[in-house]
Amino acid sequence: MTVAQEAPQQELPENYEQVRQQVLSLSAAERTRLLHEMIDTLVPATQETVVPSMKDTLSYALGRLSAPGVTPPSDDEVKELIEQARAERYG
Amino acid sequence: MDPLRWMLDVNIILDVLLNRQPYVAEAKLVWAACNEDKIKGYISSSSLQNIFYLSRLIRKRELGYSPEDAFREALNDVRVCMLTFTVVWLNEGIMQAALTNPGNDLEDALVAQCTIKLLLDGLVTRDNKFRSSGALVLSLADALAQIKQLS
Repeated sequence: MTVAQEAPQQELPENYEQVRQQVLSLSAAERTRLLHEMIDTLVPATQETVVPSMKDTLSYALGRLSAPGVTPPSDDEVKELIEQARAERYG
Repeated sequence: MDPLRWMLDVNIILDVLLNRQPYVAEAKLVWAACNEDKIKGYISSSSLQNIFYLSRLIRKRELGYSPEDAFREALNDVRVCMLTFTVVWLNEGIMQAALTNPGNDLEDALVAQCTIKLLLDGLVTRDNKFRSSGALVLSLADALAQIKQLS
């Protein structure tokens, strides 16, 4: 099981408590809507790929295009797939 | 001593990205030598495009990515190659030379001419067709033997 690491403690902005109080003054429906909107803003951040160090790109690159149970294409199949991809792009 | 300067055929790079057996064992040693600055690896700009197209297609078709995620991760595949290897941008001289000696595959001819025009120390490939290209061709075994001598 993967356990999420606790985020490092950061100093809260000066107006944090003010914002919190304003949010608490909203109705339950409004707070729920706001919660969903805030979660949506986090999705791109959690999907960001870690940029590899220039000195260890191998560990980042190794098997990036593979998956268990998926047979990788041969050299000839690669050529065919690239042709197909170009055909999709250029018709 | 300056590192050896080798052009890498795209299939060597794909061996690593695709974890393609049995070739990946040797290909990743060449990649690691580039990480360690023992070798300066070069890749043609046309190979980068091919990696992008292939990565996006495989991610969509085989790995179940959405089109948006496949696009984003294919860009990351290009980025990791650009971090690792020096890109040889095709120019008129390289194109003219490839047109003069096209063999039966213009893209392969471009890769060979990149090697020749930049006076690189070799072209690392598993494809024997390059042997008639005029570039100094190194098999993976040749490449690994040279890397071993550097250690």
